[in-house]
Amino acid sequence: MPNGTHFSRRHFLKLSGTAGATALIAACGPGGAPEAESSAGESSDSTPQTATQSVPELLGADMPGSPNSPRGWTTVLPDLPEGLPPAPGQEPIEISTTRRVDAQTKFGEGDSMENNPWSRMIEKLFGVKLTVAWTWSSGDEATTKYNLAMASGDMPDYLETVPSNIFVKMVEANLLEDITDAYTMYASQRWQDTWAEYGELPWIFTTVDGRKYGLPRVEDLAHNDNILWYRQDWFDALSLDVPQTLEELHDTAVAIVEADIGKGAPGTTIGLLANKSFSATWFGSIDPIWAPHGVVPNHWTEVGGELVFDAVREEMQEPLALLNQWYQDGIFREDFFTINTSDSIQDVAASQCGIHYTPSWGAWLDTVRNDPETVWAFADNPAGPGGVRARHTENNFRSSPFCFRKGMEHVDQIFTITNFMHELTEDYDRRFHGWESHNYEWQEDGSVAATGISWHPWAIGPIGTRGSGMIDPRHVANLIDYQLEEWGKIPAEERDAYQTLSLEDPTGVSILGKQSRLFILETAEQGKITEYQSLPTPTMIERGSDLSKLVEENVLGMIIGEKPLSAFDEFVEQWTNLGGDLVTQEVNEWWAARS
Amino acid sequence: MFDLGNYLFLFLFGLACLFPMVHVIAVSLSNRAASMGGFVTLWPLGTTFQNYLEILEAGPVYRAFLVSVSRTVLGTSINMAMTVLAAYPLSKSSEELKGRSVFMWIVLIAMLFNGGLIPWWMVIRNLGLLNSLWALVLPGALPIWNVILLMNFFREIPKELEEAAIIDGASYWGTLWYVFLPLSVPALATLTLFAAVFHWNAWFDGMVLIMDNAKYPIMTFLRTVVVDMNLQILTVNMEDIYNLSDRSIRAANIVVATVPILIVYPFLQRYFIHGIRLGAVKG
Repeated sequence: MPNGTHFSRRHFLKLSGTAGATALIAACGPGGAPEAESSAGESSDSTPQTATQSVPELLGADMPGSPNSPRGWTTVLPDLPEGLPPAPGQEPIEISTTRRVDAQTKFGEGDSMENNPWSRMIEKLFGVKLTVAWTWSSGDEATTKYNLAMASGDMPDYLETVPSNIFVKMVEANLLEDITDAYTMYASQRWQDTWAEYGELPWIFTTVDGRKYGLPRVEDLAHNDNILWYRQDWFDALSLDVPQTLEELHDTAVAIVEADIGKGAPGTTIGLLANKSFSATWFGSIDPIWAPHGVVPNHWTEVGGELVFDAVREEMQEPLALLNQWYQDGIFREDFFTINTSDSIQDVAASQCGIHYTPSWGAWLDTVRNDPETVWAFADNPAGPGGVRARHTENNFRSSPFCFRKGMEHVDQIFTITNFMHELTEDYDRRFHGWESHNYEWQEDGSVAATGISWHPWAIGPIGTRGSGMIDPRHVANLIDYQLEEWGKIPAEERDAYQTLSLEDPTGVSILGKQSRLFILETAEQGKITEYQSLPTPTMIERGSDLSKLVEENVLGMIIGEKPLSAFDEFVEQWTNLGGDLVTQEVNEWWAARS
Repeated sequence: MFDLGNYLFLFLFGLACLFPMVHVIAVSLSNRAASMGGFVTLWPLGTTFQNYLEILEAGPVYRAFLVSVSRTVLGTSINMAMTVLAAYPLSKSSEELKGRSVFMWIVLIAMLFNGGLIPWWMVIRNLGLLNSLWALVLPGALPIWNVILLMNFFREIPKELEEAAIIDGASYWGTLWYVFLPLSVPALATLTLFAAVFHWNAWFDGMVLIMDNAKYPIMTFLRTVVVDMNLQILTVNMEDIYNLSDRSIRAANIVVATVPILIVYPFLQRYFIHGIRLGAVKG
């Protein structure tokens, strides 16, 4: 291994065209942490005294920020609780964890999940060593490994994003620690105040019989809310206006298909992107077509005091007929019902599709790379019947929580670390952007470049982790606001290297994504949320996959005309007989108990 | 005419088999935007070795590759030794091997029934094998299907040869080594290939028995890279979605993981042909 990494580092430096200065910084960055206890240039005592040693000195090379570089910046760490950092020589507390790892989990040279700048910072400041019991990358792998852990009784201390059905089993088997009191005792006031604003929502998926068994995974507001993305260049070429209603959207999409303006083979232009995930999804969704009709196929909605499943409501028939008509008019790809969400990116990247409903990342960079003429723009979702604009939205406190092993001795440590990380990441004036030569690298000209390595997967939840963990669901919007407002005010030549990196956007795609996020939040009232907000009911666990298969076959079948719309009643009956009636009953028991 | 049709059919059939591989190689050598747009078919667009450099630079591929190589070498050696040592006595008659049918039943029962995932996992854990290379090679050390194949092959070797060797003073070990093994090269080559391919391609045991992802064999590692992300369930930001959807990188990973085992085939191929000829002469 040393040979391999040695070669790769050299090669990397050659590739990125960096000079000797960078190599020097990089060389003393990751590898030499234990030796480099004190910051460069200052004399250090061979037996450091915590009382006299400042935190930056203690951290040495593991101190975030870049104060010593040209156009650098300083990270201001939050104050540590009393008694910390631990006295020198004190044995660290070990906490074993489960972690999600995938192709995006990257490290600097020589670093690993257990030993990286973040983990070293935590160990030095808190005296806590976070070990990794095991990792997983896909959902089924997580399920398998959590099942094995449960069956063998070999539970790690802190469990990352336990799938809901496993969480229910673990609570039943009394394997998880009740953290109801720990939360009030150890979570910072700021943290508790933020979550208190959201009422019950944070605890819906972690509460069993009124007790809390885990911390929720927090997603930023409007993360998966879809808006209309369109090719401004095509609209200009064809003199099309931004559609304001679904009818206009239909006509615009037909005009694009007829003009065959797409870059693919003749006749392959797609009017509106769709895929087999016919409900809400993260790319090419059609939920803004369903929602104005009052239904989103997998939502539960209150009708006359009772919750009903949207997919089997009468109101489905109108949008089904509409989508069937659109399909016949050639607006969708002929085989859209066979294509999954991630594959529908291809139609956007290949400039075959000009309009799609997608969250804030709809201005897809590959399109611009393949066709530099591309101009992406976003707009409010076209209105449905009666001028209603609506789309799917969700509870930002997600299921699959972070849980503690029953009898875990150091619950407080997880809270202490999270309090610290909360202040560090959500106070933007603290300027925490990761570690030099890991998350970013200095270039010859004094600018910084992102390395594609991120600290998030190194950290434990609920802050960081794989994805974008946070305490305040408004965090991402606040950060965008802060960057555009505060840093945008600074004249370009006075911005430090990181500010320049964040605001520089040659393709315009990234800024557009940020603007769209703020726009989606401004139109937040359009969100339709499913009113069943709880863990899956027993029948859902037992029959859920059969039921969703039935819904999928019928909804897609009716859109493509394989099944007549008149078969709707028959479908509702089948759904009821297959267990839908039981699910409805269970959901309404929950609903009655709640209200 | 029939020949021509035959050739044409076989040619097209061959092409159909090659097509996906050539496509993956082409994607792995293309730039990201072109492969995301689905423009790449058989020839790379915007040819670049960047994808390979990137995955080799990242380190985990190297590590996973070495784990897989050691696993395949070690696992195949153990498999073959165990197979030969089990097949030889079992190929004898019940008079020569007392209790042969009992042994045979033990072997068959183990082939037909297993304890299920969790008991299997717990046994391996309690043996202290978790997280080590041995967990990948020891639990499957005796491939029973292969034992039965080799046993039947041994039985077809004329008994006279063995008797002649015994008369000349050879022990059972001697006959196995000097008579049976040299005559079974084609069968051994086939079984070696089976075992090697099995070890190279196995991913599930790596996933559940190796807890430290730095020790994953390449196929388990590959799965973390190419598995279809359920991005809606996983909270991700724009950058993640962009990076995770990179088809060129995935293709490069697939090529790196597939090519080594493909190279094994031509080396063993001549034994297959040899094997066919052997049978013909004997008949």
